[in-house]
Amino acid sequence: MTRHFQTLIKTAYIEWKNQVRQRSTWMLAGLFFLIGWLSVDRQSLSLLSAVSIAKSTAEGLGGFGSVFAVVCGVAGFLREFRPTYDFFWSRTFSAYSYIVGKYLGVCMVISTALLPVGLWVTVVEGARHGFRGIVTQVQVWAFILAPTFLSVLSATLLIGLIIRRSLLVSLVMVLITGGVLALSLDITHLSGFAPYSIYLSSLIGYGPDGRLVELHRVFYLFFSVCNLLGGLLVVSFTSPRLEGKKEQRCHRVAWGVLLVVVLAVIFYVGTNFQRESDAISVEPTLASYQRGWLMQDCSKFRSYRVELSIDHETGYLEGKAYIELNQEPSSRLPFDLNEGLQITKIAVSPQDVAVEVDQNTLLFETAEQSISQSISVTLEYRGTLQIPRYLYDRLFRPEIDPVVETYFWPGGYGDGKAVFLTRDGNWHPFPGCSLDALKIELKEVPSHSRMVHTADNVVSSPSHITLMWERRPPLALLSTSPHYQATRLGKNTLLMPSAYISYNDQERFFAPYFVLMQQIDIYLQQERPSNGSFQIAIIPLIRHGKYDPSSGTLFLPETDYLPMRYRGLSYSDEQINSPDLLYRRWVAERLIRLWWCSDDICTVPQVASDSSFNWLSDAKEGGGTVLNALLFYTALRLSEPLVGPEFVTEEMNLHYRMASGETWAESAGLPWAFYPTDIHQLMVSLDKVWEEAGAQSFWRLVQAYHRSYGNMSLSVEEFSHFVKQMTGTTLP
Amino acid sequence: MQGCNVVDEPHLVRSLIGYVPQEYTLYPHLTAWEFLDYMGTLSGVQHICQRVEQVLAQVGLLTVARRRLATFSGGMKQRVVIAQALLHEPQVLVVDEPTAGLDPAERVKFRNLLAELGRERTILLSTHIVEDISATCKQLAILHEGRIAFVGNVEDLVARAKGKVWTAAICSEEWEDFHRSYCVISSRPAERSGLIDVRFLVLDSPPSCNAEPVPPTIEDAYLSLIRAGSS
Repeated sequence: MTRHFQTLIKTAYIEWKNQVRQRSTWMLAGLFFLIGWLSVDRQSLSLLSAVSIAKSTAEGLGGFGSVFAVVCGVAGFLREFRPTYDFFWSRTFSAYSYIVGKYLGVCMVISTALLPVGLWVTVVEGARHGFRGIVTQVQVWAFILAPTFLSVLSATLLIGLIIRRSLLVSLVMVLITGGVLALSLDITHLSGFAPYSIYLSSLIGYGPDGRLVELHRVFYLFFSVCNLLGGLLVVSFTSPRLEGKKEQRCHRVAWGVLLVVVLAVIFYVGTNFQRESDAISVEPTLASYQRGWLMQDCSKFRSYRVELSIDHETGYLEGKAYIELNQEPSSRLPFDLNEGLQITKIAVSPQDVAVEVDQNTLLFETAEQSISQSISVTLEYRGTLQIPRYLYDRLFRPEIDPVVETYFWPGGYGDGKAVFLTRDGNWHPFPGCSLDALKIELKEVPSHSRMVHTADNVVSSPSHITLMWERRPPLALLSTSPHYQATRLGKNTLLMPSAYISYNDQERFFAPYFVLMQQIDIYLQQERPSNGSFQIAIIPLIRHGKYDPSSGTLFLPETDYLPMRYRGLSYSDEQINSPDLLYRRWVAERLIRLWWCSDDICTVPQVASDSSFNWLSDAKEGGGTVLNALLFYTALRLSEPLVGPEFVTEEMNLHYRMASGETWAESAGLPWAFYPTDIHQLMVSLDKVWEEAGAQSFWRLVQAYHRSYGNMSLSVEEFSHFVKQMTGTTLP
Repeated sequence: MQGCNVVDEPHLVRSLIGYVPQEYTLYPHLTAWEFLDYMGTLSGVQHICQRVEQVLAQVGLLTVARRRLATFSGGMKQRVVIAQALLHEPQVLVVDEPTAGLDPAERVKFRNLLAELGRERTILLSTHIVEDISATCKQLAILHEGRIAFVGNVEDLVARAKGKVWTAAICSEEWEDFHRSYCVISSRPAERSGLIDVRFLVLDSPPSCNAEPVPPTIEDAYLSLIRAGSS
């Protein structure tokens, strides 16, 4: 046994030593360095989080680097199989120890070649994030790179032992690697193998959820073992025989049995992986989740109040929802309660109203003769919240883990022991409807440093703390952070607050809308790049879009989380061509549409890169011209407090010119230059209505239109009649 | 071999033999010491450092043990290969064309080395250079068309060719006919112009021309044997 071990260790060491002394190894190191260097957006390096730097370099190296590693592997694995190494096979040693040693040796060579780029990243991480950044790099690299290189090299070993021709093996491996990439098997780029890239993995940061990543990596580790065992089996048949017939037979049986066992494990892991992946695919996706929200008919609500009692230590929650509804003979009321919560009691007044729960719907039946004005319903529920797996539904912060910095997801706050700090979330049954009042009583008071909330009133006592929301949130929980992740979008750089925000940054994290604006302005002034492109940061935070005109508060839905748009860049509406003009304008655009439309129904203007401008599709009902013109003009007026009257005048001047047939603005690349002429004309008409009827009348007109027609687009004649009726003004 | 079945127990046979191949590629980036250390490990040699030192001394490379193999001359490399074959103290040393490509001085050195090694073990020398055989071997076997054509010592082989090797001086006009009739071993221009000195082999009856018998060399004997085998 000792001799086998010595053979293994010595072979590994000699392989490493022999290759490290070759120039080609250091050329490989140079290539690795180049790949790592190019994988990181160096212009934004100072803005990137630790996990982001580590992950992007690891993914780059694992992807492109593995191709070069194949060459290194082929050279090492096949050297002694050349006829000119016959002296090697004239001795008595364990071919199996030799093969494993060889494999280890080549892995050591690759590790050595990774050292320069690794050191560079370590320096960057250390300078940027301190020791924790270095630890993050080591962990993320180990997690992403180790299984990748191990599996690529083991496959090279197996194929090499079968084919024994360097060029052919290299070619086959290149084809295999290409196939893996073409089939999206994602040996390295882990974020790609989930159907929706909306997950937070505790292991690699942003990407598929942790369990899927674990299974993926375990799969590739066992794949490596499988290849290695396959290699040993091949060697027992094809290499010069270095052992007795009996031993050879025993070894073949042993490798064969082990191979079967490993294949069974691979099958098990693969099945689980598939199941997890399927689960992600079939469980409520963003769209279906939204549909659930949209199904909530809040129009029946007269009032809605919630009281919660939470044990901070155990996370156990007891809640009471008080709902007053308009009464109808029969009605259905879909609700959305967290999976961990169960309704324990329903009380209804008047008592002759029959109520029952059918899955996630409350069903009411009222006798015709006893219909009164309203029904009062009290729902009692309790349980421990289950932290959802979906990013968009992740209202709670998971336990701090060593790999990813603690991340905070907007719309809620918590760790394993839930603490609620915002009023929206599915810890109450109708999160899609506005609460009149929310009262949360925390039985255990968490330390103050971990508290971020938007409550109107807070009452503290030694034994508990009470948070009360009595009106709609006055502040938008827009996110800002000193840590940004930069993404190229066309010629511009789009900055997003990093998803990984440490405790220390939390104080700076929540910011009201205007604070965010100021911060972005400051940022743009200080950091504006000289090359003409600009950087801007915006992140929508909460998961359902709302707008409170009284406070000027914008609630962008979490569904607009920008990375989701990157799946199809050509459809992105996040590209902003001028920081001075478009940013606030765009926000206003989003704002009015979110207020107006049911998100997926209304048309959304999309400013695409270059000239592929495909923003304007018709509304589902009507031709879309009137509705879009109304939306554009409303948005413009809505943004006036933010952008100033000069901005509005300037843009309207453009619309006047475009309405008269001028096309110069198209060449200037202004997005509204691509509106159809009839929209410009209608906007001009609406501007005249604004001037004649005044702001108040105009807003009444908008509200009435919304109330009466929703997202339907009237014809110009109908709209003209409507304007006349509402404002007394003739639409020019 | 030594009671081992070569087919069933190749691993045991390997421990008994040392092999010096005709063609080889060493690890150019390793030093002689590192290379031998690795080969010794593979062979399961005990006290490997001492043994490496011994074989390096034996082949006369101790002073260059820490130099990389890429810097070695052909002869030095050949000695390294010999050294690796001796590491595990084999009872039989199989040497395949060891002097091919070496200059005469290196060849002489190498023959002496083989002779020295042959005192302690059996050396199976496979070669086409017959001088190597006469200089180093006590016994030889000749393989012809996959069969052993002769086994014995050098003197026996030479004795077999006695009376079959002749020399003659022939006119250059007769060369074509002569070449067709006899197995010519060598030929060169004679001192008298227009004549060629020919050394040739006659297997059965003496030649009809004016020829004289000469004592055979090992090369003559080899050719005689092969010729006889073919006819």
